[in-house]
Formats: sequence, structure tokens, C-alpha cells
Amino acid sequence: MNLLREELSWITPELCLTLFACVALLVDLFVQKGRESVMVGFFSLMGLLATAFFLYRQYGVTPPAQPVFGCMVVDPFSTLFKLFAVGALAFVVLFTMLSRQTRPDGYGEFYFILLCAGLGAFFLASTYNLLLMYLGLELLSIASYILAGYAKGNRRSGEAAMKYVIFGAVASGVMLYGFTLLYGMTGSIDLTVIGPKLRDQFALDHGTIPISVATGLCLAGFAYKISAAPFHFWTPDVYEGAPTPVTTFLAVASKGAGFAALLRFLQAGFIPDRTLGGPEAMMGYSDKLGTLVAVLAALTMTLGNLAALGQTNLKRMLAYSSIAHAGYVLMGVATMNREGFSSVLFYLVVYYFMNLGAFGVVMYYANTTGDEQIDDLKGLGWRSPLVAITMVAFLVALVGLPPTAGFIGKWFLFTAAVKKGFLWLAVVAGINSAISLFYYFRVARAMWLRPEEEAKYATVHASPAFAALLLVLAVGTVWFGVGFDSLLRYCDYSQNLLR
Amino acid sequence: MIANHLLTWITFIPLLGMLAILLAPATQKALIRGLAVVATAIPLGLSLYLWLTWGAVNGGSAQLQYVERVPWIQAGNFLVQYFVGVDGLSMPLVALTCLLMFIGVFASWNIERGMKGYFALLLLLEVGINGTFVSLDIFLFYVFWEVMLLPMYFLIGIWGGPRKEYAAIKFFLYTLAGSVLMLVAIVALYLITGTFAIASYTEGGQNMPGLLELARTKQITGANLVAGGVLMGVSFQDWMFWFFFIAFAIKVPIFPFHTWLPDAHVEAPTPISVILAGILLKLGGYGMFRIGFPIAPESFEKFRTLLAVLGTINIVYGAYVAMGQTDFKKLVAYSSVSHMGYVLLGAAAMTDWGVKGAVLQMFNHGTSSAMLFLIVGVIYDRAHHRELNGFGGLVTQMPYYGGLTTLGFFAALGLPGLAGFISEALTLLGSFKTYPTLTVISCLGVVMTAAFLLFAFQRVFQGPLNPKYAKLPDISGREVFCQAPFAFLCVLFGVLPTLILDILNPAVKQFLLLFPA
Amino acid sequence: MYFDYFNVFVFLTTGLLFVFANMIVGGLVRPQKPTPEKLSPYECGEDVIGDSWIRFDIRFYTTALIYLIFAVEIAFLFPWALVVREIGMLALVEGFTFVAILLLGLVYVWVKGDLDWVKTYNASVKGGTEVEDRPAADIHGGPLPVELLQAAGVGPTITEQQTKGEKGHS
Repeated sequence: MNLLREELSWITPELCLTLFACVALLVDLFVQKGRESVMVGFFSLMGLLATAFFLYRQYGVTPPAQPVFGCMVVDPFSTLFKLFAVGALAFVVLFTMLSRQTRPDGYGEFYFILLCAGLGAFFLASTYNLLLMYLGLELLSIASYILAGYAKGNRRSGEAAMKYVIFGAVASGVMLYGFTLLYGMTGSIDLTVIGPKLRDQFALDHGTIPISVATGLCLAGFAYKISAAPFHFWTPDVYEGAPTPVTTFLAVASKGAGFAALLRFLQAGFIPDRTLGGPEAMMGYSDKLGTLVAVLAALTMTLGNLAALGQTNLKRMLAYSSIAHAGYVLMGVATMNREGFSSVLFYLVVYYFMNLGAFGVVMYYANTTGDEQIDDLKGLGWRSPLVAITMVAFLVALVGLPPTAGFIGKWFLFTAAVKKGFLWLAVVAGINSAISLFYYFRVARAMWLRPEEEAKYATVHASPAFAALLLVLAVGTVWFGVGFDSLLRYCDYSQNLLR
Repeated sequence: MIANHLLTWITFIPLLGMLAILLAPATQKALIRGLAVVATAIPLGLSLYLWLTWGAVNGGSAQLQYVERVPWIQAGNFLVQYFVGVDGLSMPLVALTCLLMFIGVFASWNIERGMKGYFALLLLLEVGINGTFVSLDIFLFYVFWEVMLLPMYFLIGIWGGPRKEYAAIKFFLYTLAGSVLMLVAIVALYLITGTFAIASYTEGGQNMPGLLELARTKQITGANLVAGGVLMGVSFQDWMFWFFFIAFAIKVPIFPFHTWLPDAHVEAPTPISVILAGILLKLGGYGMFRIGFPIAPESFEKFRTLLAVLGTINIVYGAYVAMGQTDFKKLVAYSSVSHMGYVLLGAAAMTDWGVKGAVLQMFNHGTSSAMLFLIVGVIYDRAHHRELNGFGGLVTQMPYYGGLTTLGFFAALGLPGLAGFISEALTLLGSFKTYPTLTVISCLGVVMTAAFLLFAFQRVFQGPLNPKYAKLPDISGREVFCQAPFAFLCVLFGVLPTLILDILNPAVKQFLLLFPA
Repeated sequence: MYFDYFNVFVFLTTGLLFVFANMIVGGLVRPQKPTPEKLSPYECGEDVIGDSWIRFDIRFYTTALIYLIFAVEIAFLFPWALVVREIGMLALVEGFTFVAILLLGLVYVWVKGDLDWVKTYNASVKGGTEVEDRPAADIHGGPLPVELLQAAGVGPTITEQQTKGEKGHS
């Protein structure tokens, strides 16, 4: 019983989140009409806060030697990603609460499903067990499908959900197939067992085709989740069609969790232990895999950036930009070493701030005007300068210019890539950054370079709460650009303990 | 306290000013202007102090002065320092920046629309420029370098002329494309050497060699990054060199990369053109001298003839295109292209005189081109167009303006007794030893410069008075106040060039030592 | 080197051949006397009415979903019931938690009126029917389109919609 209590104590954050998800559902039933948004949102926020508290308590504590219940890994790596997911969820909940339009029912569902999606992200980020990883992925995905189609009656939202379901089903099926192949080859669904078994297989020198097929299939599933080429096709439609808070969630938390699982998968299964020295064939295979990911990275960022150039819809543009960013992050993954993975963590944290902010501005704008066209942002800078200034900060960070965190994040990705010998990849990424400037600054151009008289909409004041949210994100974006050493150490530490 | 952190104060007082302006209510226009004046006047005063006490403090030595070094980001092996200092190369440019910014505030007196944002961005720009000049850490250098881009984009884009959007994004894209290459080079340098420091320093009694020291002693080969230090058949040093060179060449601008400049100059409001021509172009040249050339001495040696050719093309081509312009501002813009060619030519020559001439040319062009753009601004404010053929005989109507213009034009075309002559003559004399043919060709540029400037003068000021402009008021007190410092400097350094050459001498000698003979 | 997998290949080919060969042989050998009754799909002995590709009332899906959830619940609870005595308190708590969560969902759906066969259309929804091309900026994109409700055969809805005054009384 004591053992059980100890194991349970390790998964308090998950339990807490589940509990509050149910509470959100209950609260919706009992609150008087018209106050659901505030009340349910409030309880969801409380739940997230409590979860964050439990997560914070876990941070820095020596992690359990064995996975909890045989499958949940609690280490700083997963804690970082969980905190990341909780933060993103909190912002999404706040965005939803501050949304101007109201709907008489369905708040409970929305927050419930949102929190469940968060729970899926939790599991995805903290397991070496392929089965639990798959379950986490499905929980996250299925919740996301519903959320994407949440604007009932809106055709584009429906289309988004439908596309998402179909793509998702195929991708998770493919991934599951890869998992079964791995299981067939090694007889285990635990990556910590699969890794050494694969090492033995490499030592036997049977050739790499079966392993390549299995890895390829698994990677396809991950690539879908992080919207990397050539599995990115769903992204623009879903991002555009889904309600903006949901898009924010998909772009930040869902993607982050996908990367967490990918890193774990690669780290445990395919990175030879350099100190122990894996078999020669495995070293070669790991490097080959890295090169494959590098090519995918180059492809993803180039496709994303080129497609973003022609977009007129702000959300769609940001969707393509998020594809491009997946490409940048894959640069760090391609190194297949600890330093590169550490830079991935750093970039994801940075990405969290800038993307939440950018989507926040989109939501603010769409809510107040019902419009999402870039050109219709004309004159916004003169009408509501605070929002526009924060947007410029996010855009600058997305381009990757100092003194914002976007630059530092890219710096570490570049360093990791060049160190691994992918100088060409760094140059491609550099050129891509320059290209991205063009479309990001179309937004800045519309907001500031057009005179106030051209503004299409009357003055739209951000509510103080919303302005405060954006300001927090903007300050974070700039702060991590100049005082990033603590974050750097945090990421490095999280990475160190990853087995 | 001020003297210990002089460079920090010079760099960051404008930032404080910017924050103050952002907090000020937008309706208090006088307050905002006042804040801008104060925030630029203090750095100007400090930089004057810097200049006037220069010889007294260091006795003319080539060492870096006013060095400050504190760790900024420290995580494991990753150490970025706030490492600043000036030598004879950067100090005059810092002073020039402070002066130009101070004048820039007065030249912007007429800006009404969104003036709060305007002055805030102007001050941010000053932070970026001064920071770049004083940085001795390459990471810091890059951060400041990029900080400049954003305010410049908005300053051109919001307050510019009819094609401002095109000009602004073109400027931004060109510069960013270059600096991305620079970023890759910096990453590679860091991975090879493990340090960001440009200059050497001592830490706990231990000498920590900076990048330039490592380059001089041939320790930057790239062999530990790519096998044999050769990548795709090109040596690593050469990659490094070209990456840096292109980044800086775009800023200077050197011939094939110069096309952003006419657009940006023409569309930018007058004070921004002044700053652009006066300072921003110098950053490119300064970058070459500080990092670009000495970081890869052998590659520089290998390619310097090519650079000299590019410099010559700049001189002749810039002047040639300027001859064909009928837009006053475009003419001045192309004259900048031509003048900046001397910088590259002199540097490529690698003689004492050539390099000294090149560095001096940067400073002198800063004063003379600033004056030229102010002159264009004066006439544009009155006539609201810049078509050279649309004027005529203005000298009778605006005698003081005509007089100042004469001085500015003569300074720009290198009349003996004015500053431009000294630097151009030094450059040409210095490069004649190394590249006689190219120097002779470059002299053509001098003639052409004289031709287009005098021709422009003739069209605007001489001949019959255009009756449309018979009532134009002469240059105002504020405008004279803006131009007077530059006129004074043009004359001063034309008559007493030793005042600045004494500062440059040791720095140039030091610079030449970075290259193995 | 890849010879290990050759037996897999042989197994796969043989399997495929076996299936198709039997079907082809069967098709060749068996007598073919089609009658309309033989060709009609089997529906528990009932006569087929109309096309099988008609659109079903969406309410059937809701019912099916609810059924499915509890069918799965049963599937989970049988193995649980077998070991609950062995594991003891923990299993009891877990089992009840599981059922409680399911019940919560059922209660929610019930209270929200999603189990009602004849639904009342919530009249306080704003927006009307012109939601089609509005961006899905918020989670609350608007009400169900009238056509959808009509297709679902929910009569009262339309009347209520009309009494809202959007289309006037008719």
C-alpha cells in the first residue's frame, strides 16, 4: 500500500488534471445560465494551477529509478514538457474566456475536452512505453479532432475536423504499424528494452532494412503530429478552420508534445551510447537517420516558408509558419545528440511564447472584428498601439532577430547543426529565415505602414486583461532574448537526465 | 562612475530616453522633443569628452580604451560577455554617431505624425549603432547589428516617401540576407574557437586570446569542424571570409549589392537619409576593418585584388550613374556609392596610407554626405519635389543656402582644403603603390564626381530664376544649426587633418599588424 | 543476409494464392441460377425497402454511441469482476472511479438534453443562419444550420426559429 501511495504521488499532476476536467464538466451543469464561461473557465484555471504546483514540486526532486506503474516516466524532461503544456492550456483557457462572443451551452465540454487533450500530451511526453505513448497520442488526437470541429455549423470548422480525423487516423495507423514491427523485432514495447535489443541486432549485422521500415513508419506518425513535410498537408486547413484558441493549442502544446515523444523515441531507441560505444552499424544507422531528418527539416522549412509567402489569411499564414518552425526544430533533432536535443527544448520554450502571442493577437483581432485577413489589419498600429507593438515583438521573434528569444533559439539550433557537420542545413535555414521576414513583415506593414485613415475597422480596444496577457508573452519573448542563461541551464539539465 | 562606464552610458542613455518617451503622453509634443534632445545630447557630450581626452588618456597608444567586460550569458562553456571598448578605429565613428543623432533630432523637428514612435525608434537606432561600434564580443556585435534593422524599417516605412513600403522591405531583406550569412559564420567561428571575444583579454591572470589573435596566429583553420578545413573544395577560411564580406558589403554597399541603397535613400525622410548615409554605411566598412578582413587574413590576401576591383567599380560606376540622375536625392545617394568605393580600395591596398585614407574617408563621408542630404532636405521642404531640372537661379533667392551648398559640394568632390580631399588623396596615394592601374581608373571617378556635383549645382542655383520659386524663403536658423557642425568639421579636418590622423595612426598600425606580411 | 525473411514472403504468397485460387475454382464449378430473392441483401428476413445509401437520422448515431460506450464498459468490467476479490480495495476504488467517470458523461449528456428524441432548439443562440462564411474565430461559431435540423426531422425547431422573428411569422 505504501508503494502504491508513493507511485500514486508521482502521478499527482495527472490525477489532478483528470479530477479538474471532471469538475469542469460538473460545474457546467450547476452554474446558472450565462455565467458558464467565467465559472467553468475559472475552475479549469484552478485545476491547471494546481497541476502546475504539483509539477513544480516534482521538479528538482530525484526522479524514481523505475517507471511509475511500469510505464510512466517522471523526469525533468517530462516535467518541462508538462509545464509547457499546462502553460499553453492556461493561455488557451484564458483566451477562450476573454473571447467576446458567447454561446449558451457547451462550455463544460469545451474545457473538459481541452483538459483531456492536455492529459494526452502529459502521457505522450512522459513514457518509454510504446503502448502508453500511443494511447497518449490518441487521447490528444481525438480530443483535438473534436476541438477542431467545435464551431458547430461553421463549414470550415467542420471541414477542418474532418480532414484532421482522416489524416490523423491514417498517420496513427501507420505509426501503430511501426510500433508492432518494433515489437516483433524485439519482443518488447518498452523503449528502454527495445534500445539494447536493437543494439544487439545491429551487432549481429543483419542489415538495416527491417529496422528502417519500422523506424520510417514510426517517424511518419511523429511527423504528422509535429506537421513536418511530407505529412503537413492537414495543417493549413485545420489551423485556419479550427476556432483560434484551439489552433493555438494545436500549434503550441500538441506540437510540443509530439516533439517530446519524438525525442524520447529517438533517444532511447536509436542513439548509440557514445560512452559505452555501440556497434559500428548502429553508429552508422544513427547518422543516416540524422541525415534523413536533416533532409526532412530542410524540406519542411522551405515548403512552409514558400507556401506562407502567398497567404492572405493571417491564421493560414501562421499555420504555414508553424510548419516552417517545425523544420527549424527538426534541425536540432537531426543532430541525434544531446546538445541538439537540448537546443530543441530551448526552441520549443521560445516558440511557446512567440506563437501563443501571435495567435493571441489573431484571436483578439478576429473576435473584435470578425476578420482574419492580413490586409484588413491596416492601420491597427495607430488604432490600438499596444496590441500592435506586442505583435511586432512576436513577429521579430518568429523571424529570429535579436534581441528576442527567437534569435537565441535559432542560435542554438544553428550551433548544434553546424557542429554536427550540417553546415548546408544551417545555410538553408538562414536563407529561410530571410524569406520568412517577407511574409511576417507583411503583417507589420499592414499594421503600421498604412496610415490610420485606411483602417477598415473602428477603434478596437483590447480589454485590460487581454492586453496584460499579450504583454506577459511579449515580455517573455524579449526577456529570454537577453537573459536566457537560466532557461539554457534548465533545458540542459532536463536533457541531462533523459536516459 | 561615468568615466568608468563611459561607453555603457553612451550606448544606453538613448535607451533610457526611448523608455521615457514611450511613457510620455503622446499629446505632449514639446516634452517628447525635449526628451529626445536630452537623450542624444548627453551621449554627444560624453563622446566629445572621449575625443578631447583621447590623447591625454592613452598617450596615443593603440590599445583599446574604456574597456568594460562582464559576463552576460554564462551556461557551461557558453560564455557571452558584455565586452566593450574603443580604439582609434571606432572612437571617431562613435563620436560621429552621437553628433549625427543629435542633429537628426533637430532635423526631425517638423515630424508631426506619430512623433512619439518616431523619436523612440530614432533613439533605439542610436543604441544599435553605438552598440555595434563599441562591441568587442562578436555575439554582442551581432545583437546590436540586428537591433538596428527594426527601427530603420519602421522609420523608412512609416515616415518615408511614396514608395516607402518597397524601399523599407528591400532594405530589411538585403541586410538580413547578409547578416544571416554572418550568423552562420559566427556559429562556425564559435564552434572552432569556443570564444566570442573579438579582442584578447586577461581573466584571472590568464591571457584569453580573442578571435583576431587566434586568426593572426593561424589557429582558425576549421580543421576541427570539417575534415581538413576544406568544405566543398573551398577552404574554410574562404567561406568565413566571404560570408562576412557579403554581410558587410551589403551594408557598405559594394557594387553588386548596392541596389537597396538608392531606394532606401530616396524614400527615407531627410533625417533618416542623413543617418543612413552618415553612419549606417560606415558600419559595413567598420565591420570589414574590425572583423571581416582580419578574421581570415590569408583569404583576404588571396582575394584583395578582387576587392580592389570591386572598390574601383564602386567609385566609377557610382559616379557614372550619379551623372545620369535628375532626382537630387538619388544623385546624392549614388555619390555615396561612389565615395564608399574608396574605403574598399584603400583597405585592399594594405598600405599604411591606403588604410588610413580608407578609415578617414568613412569619417569624412559621414560629415559630407550628411550635409548633402540635409541640403536636399532643405529644398525638398520648400518646393516639395527634388527634380533638378525644375529649379534654377536659386542662388539669388537663397544666398545663404547657396553658400552652404557650395561648401558641401566642394567637400564632397574633394576640393583641397576640405576634408574629402585629404582622405581621397591618401587612399589614392596609398593604393597606387599596390594597384597603379586601378588607381588611375579610380581617378576618373574623382573627375566624374566633380562633374555631376557641379552640374547639379548649376541646374539648381545658376541660370535664370524659376519664377515658381521666386518667393522661397532662405534657409532657416534651425537648418543652419543642423548643417553648421558638418560644415565646421569639413573645414577643420581639411585644414588640420592631423587632429584626426593622430587618433587613427596607431589604430591603423595595429590593424596592419593583424596581417602576416 | 535477407534470407531470414524469405519464409515470410513464401508464407504470404501461398496464403494469397490459396484464397484467390479457391474463389476462382469455386466460381467456375458452382451452378449459377440467380433469382431476385437471392440477390437481395439479407435483412433478417424482411423485404428490402428502398436504397441502402439513404441518410440515417443522426439521432441513431447518438444512441449507437451511448450504447457502444456501455458495451465497452461491460467488456472492461467482466475481467475486473474476476480479480476484484484478489486485488481488494484498490480494484474496487478503480472500478468505481471508472464507472463514475462514465456516469458523469451520461449525466452531462442527459442534462444538456442530447438524449431527447425531439430536441428543442435553443432560441437564445445568436447569429441566425448566415454563419456559413464567417471565420471560426471563436469556439461558438453559431447555431446549427436550419437545413441540418430539417434533415434531422426536428419539426419544432423550425417553428421556434421562426417565432424568433428572424423570418417573420408565417
